[in-house]
Amino acid sequence: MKKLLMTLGLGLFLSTVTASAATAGTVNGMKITVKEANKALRALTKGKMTWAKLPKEGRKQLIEMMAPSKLVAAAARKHLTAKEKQAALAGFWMQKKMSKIKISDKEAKNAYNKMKKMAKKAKSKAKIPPFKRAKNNIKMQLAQEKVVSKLMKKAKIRVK
Amino acid sequence: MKNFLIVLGLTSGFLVSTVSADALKNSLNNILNTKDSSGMVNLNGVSVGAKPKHRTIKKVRKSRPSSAVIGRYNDGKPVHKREADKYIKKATKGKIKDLDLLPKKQRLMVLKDLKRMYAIKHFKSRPAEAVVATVNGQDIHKKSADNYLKLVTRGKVTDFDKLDKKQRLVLIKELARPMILQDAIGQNLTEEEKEAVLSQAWLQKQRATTKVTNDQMLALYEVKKAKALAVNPQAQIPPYISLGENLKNEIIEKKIMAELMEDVNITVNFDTNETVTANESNESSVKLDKIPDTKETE
Repeated sequence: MKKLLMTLGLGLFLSTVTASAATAGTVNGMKITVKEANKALRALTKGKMTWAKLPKEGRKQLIEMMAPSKLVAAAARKHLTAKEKQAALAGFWMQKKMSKIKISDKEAKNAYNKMKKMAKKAKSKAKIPPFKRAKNNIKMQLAQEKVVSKLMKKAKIRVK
Repeated sequence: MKNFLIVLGLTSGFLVSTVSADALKNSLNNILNTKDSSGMVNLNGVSVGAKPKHRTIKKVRKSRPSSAVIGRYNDGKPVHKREADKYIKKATKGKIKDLDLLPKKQRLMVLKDLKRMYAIKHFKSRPAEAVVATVNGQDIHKKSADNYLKLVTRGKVTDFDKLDKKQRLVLIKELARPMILQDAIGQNLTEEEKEAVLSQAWLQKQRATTKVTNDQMLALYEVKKAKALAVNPQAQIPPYISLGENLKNEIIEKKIMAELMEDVNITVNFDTNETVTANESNESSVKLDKIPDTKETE
């Protein structure tokens, strides 16, 4: 009995693994798994259709529809330089982090006044925009500074 | 007669002496009542029993011989006074030639400067592959630090080892920033997010480099116009100029997709009859909302 249960459990486990990893199609040799196809179908049909229930023509249409995103991802991996990739990811990550940081109007105003003072001291001829117009940019700048300084504080730097 | 003359002389003498004594008394009283402005020392308030104050006498500093050792370099070698004298002479353009004429604070500054100059002159640079710092366990080699320093100083300083401790830390922090950011990205972004971001970046790059001519835009406009009029002959068609940007974007998207789908090999597995299990995760690299609709109509 124990053996039977074990075999059944293992069989069930293997079947779920193969189901999610099974190939629904390929695009230039790149796999589209059943799991991915089902995810796409869920979004398209609001959960009404699954890969298993999908007729032949529907399957073909779905794979053809999913192909461009696979191809774009592959092209991005292949053709973007390491620097471009790094810049894109860093930009996204920064935006994600910055969205969680809140900068008050008071903080922004203080920073604005500081900048104004510095510009005066440096006898800058550049026209300083009014606070209302510069507020959002200042807030973004402050948020970015906060993210970076937080990151740098956590880092373990040892100079030899 | 003789006696009369003597008595008269004596009485007149007494009278004169009393008058002149009164004048002296009056003048002395006046002196006491008026303030002294003659410049003489006023001894009022002098305490006779007080102890004399210790008077500081400026000591004239004796200059040491030029062979005197005034300090040590970092490698233990002595710093002789003559070196400091030479340095001061040069720094002050010959106005000061002796270190011992300077106050202690300035003497120490001179010694510090000499040590720094000696360190620069006699330092040994580490090899390019030497690890000069670690950032979150990742090594930074001297070569990359040198390259960055060269970039920052516009080629004026090219050796990391020539910097002092503070400068080294500042430079390494600057250099480490992208590495730290990279670490954070690796830890905080999922593979799905990374793929989506890179795909967008590539598409953006393609959009920026794909060229569209006016003829192509006009041709697409005419096709669209004809289609709209075929459906509704009285339809109001917006002018070409107002649709310019939209038409351009549409052509670009089509061009990119056409290039991507050229010679594409798509296979569909019709034999997979697996049922969806409950434990299926929500992970997927497919972003359906970002898939262009070019294939939907096929």
